[in-house]
Amino acid sequence: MPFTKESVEEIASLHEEPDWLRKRRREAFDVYERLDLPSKIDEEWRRVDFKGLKLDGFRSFEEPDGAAPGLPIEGAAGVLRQRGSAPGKVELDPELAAKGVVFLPLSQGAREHRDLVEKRLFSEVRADRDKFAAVHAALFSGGTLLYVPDFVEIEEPLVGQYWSSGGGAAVLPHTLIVAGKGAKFNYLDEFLSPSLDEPALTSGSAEIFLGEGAQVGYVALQKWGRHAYQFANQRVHVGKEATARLFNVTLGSRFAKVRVEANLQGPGGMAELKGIYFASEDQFFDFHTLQDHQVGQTTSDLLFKGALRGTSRTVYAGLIRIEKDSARSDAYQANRNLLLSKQAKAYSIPMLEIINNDVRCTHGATVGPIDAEHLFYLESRGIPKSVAQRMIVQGFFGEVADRIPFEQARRLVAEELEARLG
Amino acid sequence: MAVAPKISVGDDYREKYGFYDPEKFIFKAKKGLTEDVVREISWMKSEPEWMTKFRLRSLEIFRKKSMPNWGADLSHIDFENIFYFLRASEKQGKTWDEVPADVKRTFDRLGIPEAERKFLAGVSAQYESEVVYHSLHKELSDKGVIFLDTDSGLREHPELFKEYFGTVIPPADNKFSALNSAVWSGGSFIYVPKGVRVDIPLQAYFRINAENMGQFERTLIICDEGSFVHYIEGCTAPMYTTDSLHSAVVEIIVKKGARCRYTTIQNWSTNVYNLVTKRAVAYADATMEWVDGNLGSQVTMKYPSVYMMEPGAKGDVLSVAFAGKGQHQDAGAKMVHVAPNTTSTITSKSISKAGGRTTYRGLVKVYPQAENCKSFVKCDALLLDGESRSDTYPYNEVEAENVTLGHEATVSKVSDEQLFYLMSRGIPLAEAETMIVNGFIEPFTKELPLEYAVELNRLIQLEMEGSVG
Amino acid sequence: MADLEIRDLRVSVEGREILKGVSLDVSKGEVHAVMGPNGSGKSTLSQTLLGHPGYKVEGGRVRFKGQDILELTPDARSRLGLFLALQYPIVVPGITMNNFLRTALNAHRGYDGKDKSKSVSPKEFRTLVEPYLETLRIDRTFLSRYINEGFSGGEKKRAEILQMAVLQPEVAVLDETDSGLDIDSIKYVSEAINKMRGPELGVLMITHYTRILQFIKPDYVHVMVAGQVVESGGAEVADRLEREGYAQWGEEVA
Repeated sequence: MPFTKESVEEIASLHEEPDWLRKRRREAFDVYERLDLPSKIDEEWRRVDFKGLKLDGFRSFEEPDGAAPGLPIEGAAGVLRQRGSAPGKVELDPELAAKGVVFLPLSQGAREHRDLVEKRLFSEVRADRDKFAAVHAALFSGGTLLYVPDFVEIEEPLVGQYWSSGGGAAVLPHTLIVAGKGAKFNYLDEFLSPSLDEPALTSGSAEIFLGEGAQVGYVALQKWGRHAYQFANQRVHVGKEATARLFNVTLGSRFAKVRVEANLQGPGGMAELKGIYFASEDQFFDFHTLQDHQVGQTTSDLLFKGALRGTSRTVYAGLIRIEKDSARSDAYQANRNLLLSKQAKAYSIPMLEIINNDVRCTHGATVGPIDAEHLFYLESRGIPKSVAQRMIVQGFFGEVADRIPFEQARRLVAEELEARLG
Repeated sequence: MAVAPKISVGDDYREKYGFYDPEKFIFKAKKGLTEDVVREISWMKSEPEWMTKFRLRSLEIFRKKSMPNWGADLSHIDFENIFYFLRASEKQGKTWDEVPADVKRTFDRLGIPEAERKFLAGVSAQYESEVVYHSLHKELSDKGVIFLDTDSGLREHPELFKEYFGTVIPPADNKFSALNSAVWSGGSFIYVPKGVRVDIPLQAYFRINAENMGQFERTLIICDEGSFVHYIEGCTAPMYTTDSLHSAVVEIIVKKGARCRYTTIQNWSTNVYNLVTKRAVAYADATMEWVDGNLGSQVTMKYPSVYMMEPGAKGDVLSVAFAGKGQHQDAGAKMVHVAPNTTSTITSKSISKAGGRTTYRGLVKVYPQAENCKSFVKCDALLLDGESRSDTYPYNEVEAENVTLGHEATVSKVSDEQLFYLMSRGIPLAEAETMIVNGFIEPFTKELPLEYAVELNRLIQLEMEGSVG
Repeated sequence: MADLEIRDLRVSVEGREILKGVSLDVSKGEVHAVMGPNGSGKSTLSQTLLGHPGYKVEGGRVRFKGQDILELTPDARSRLGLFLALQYPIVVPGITMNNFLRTALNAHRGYDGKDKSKSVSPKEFRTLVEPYLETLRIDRTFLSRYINEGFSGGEKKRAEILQMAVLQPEVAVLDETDSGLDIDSIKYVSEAINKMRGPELGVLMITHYTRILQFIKPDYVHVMVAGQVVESGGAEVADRLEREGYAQWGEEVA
């Protein structure tokens, strides 16, 4: 059944949204109706294969069925749990609430903190980016607002968990994070569902705003079931002297088209974009990254590492863009792919557009198998081949996994990888 | 400190290459692209019917194909305002004396006869649409080496010609290969027999003289098993206020164990659109090397390719691009690994100054059956000022097992530390900068025959002085 | 009046003041050693003398042969007769040592690409370079290699001294030319410098250790601590330093 105007109204009512937000959903829906599906002529979509995806085949929201997974980590400072398309439930350390930290389901946030949400929501992840961004903005199902006031530091991470248990629906959570001046915290988004027969449309988009000097770590762990088609945009707006560390871990879904972008808007700003992907069977992942140095004296550092098994296929395409006046910028970009099977295919396209000469820009890409010398060396020490291979893959990921912004997420990702390598 | 002499690049180019002779011709097709023009070109050349048909079919394809929606801005090309064919001389000279006096004067000024005497095994000089002078050392022709202009190649070796022509780059490959296939004229036809090594380079020199002229040479090189040839081309044109179009197609077949090196020093004036399709197929243990220098033109779009068809084939592209004011060099390479155990390397060096833009655009494709391939790409860009731009678009597509593919790129300016070091030894700023730029492209220069290396360094020096003076 | 006069020189790097009023006189025929712990500003002094763009002069003046040089570009200072052997000679890709040395020598002679009579001939170049290749134990093939590319630490330092020999400066600043050198290299370098030593050459030798002073006897020794010259004297200052370290000037031995 196609998405309709009525479904927009329904989901807005379900979340008891204010009129301005309802209006915004309607506008996004108009964009959705106006836009065609991206065509293969468009360079960004040339290698994307969404065969089997029927956009008019999804229900526009999912009723929760009562099933609930455990939390990914313990001792979080705040937790938001969302099931299906229903509004999430929040627990927050009262001390933080007292300091002015706002942690709410997005719709409630829009009602109670219009000043925080209205001007930011879908300003970085724009509805008119493509048809999938438009449907996300029109039909986003809940999500999170996190606001951390100026100079508030939070020791333990906050967690958002999105669980989907029914197939055939669109489950489109959106995370909005606003960090005040000098605020310091870490956040983990976990997206998960069992693998089901009926395809699902999912997202997991995030907009993150860093005020002057803020330091934010954000980890997105994607474990949607193999029935899911994921279209997500994760974008960070980095203010003066702020440091953003985004870490994307893509393990689930049959299909994932993910953009990870840093919009560097303040001198001294720094964005670290890191990613791990592990594709197996017939999974298809496409990552488009952007390091957009809009002003000078900004730094970005990107490393995406992926391993491929089975008949999986991955695309990494990243762009460093240094604007004309962005002198003294420093940008690094690297993509490494480990091909573990005969049929896997990896495409790597690291791009540069540099319009200022007072910069340092370096990028690199590699695609290759496990180094036979490394394997031999380990085997020569009596380690069985399968164990040696696993160790090498773990080592391959280790270099980037060490850059996961906080300890709990590092452990979590290590366990996830281990489970897949086992 | 000493002040570098003030030489504007444009002025210098005008002096050395930018002069033009009053237009003289035996035949000039009317402006614009029609079936009649295409038929007329074919008729003037007394071509066999298959070629006339090939041309007409290509024209159809050209009309159907859309312009590329990527790369440089081509929106100012007016295909109807171009002369597609111009015959400057009644017959081709075998000695300089036979070349018409004014054309000869042109090539004399460009130093071609001198170069031939000094270090070339054969020379071809194309003026407008056709080759006006041609020579090949007797020793090579005795060995069975064929080095002709392409029109003569078709006439004198029809079977060999037909066997290979259009097989590497079909007309439908892209809009400009279709255009070239419809109106091609001139270019070089080379055949090197089995086991023959041509140790000194063959050279072709391309010159556009008339205004609004399109040059569409077509080159076909066949290196038979175990042979070797090094082919060098140079190109210049006068500065007109209106644009010229140069759209060549170069097809190369490198058979088992053979090696072909193709060197280009492209120095068109900055009113030329240079849109060239160059491709080689390399068979078992064969090596294809493109050495590609792009200094001139307003816009260049050129991506020399090597298709590695059988195990052991090797592809190598070494390129330099220099973009000054108003120039966009959109250049790169394509390495297509069709067979297992093939290797490729791409080394690209680019320099942008005074608002110029260089783009590296490359593809490394490894097909599923092409196991155990290796490919390495290195791109370095130098931005000489804050107005210029450098882009890097490397497409790496790996579909096979046991492939090692690496890509590295850097973009930087001339390092302050290096400048200080050279200047602390008494070398003035402008000279120090030029030395650093020449050092930057040294990996390219050292692959050129000495005379060309000297010339290239001099060109860079002039460009650099233009920027500092 | 000394050939090189440094007066109350104050220099900052990235907004931090490193030299806090340094005064020194070096004349031809003299060998001066400037010693000091790490971070005392020795390298700042040497880089500033040749006009490195990263060092900002906040006050004071430097005169060379009676001329104020602080406004001059590095190449002009070099052509005036100043030389700097860098502590960390850098790699410049694609330019051979041969080309580098000849271009520098030509620049010193005012050859601007036109008047061939001013350019150094290959023969003259050989007679200039070869004796020092021998003294410095540098292989000839070295000249066709790119500037400092793939050179060992010792080779780089020896190459600096070779450049000095070719350019024949009036005052040479040697910035920790001894650091990181094995004993053989120190001997070769010292031998070359001693060979050049004479009434036409002044040397300002910047060093952390007294080791090289056994091979090149200084006429004057200055101690620099925290951006100032805290003591000047004859060779005996170095001897005292050897025994007692920098602690006597309130500095830890680094």
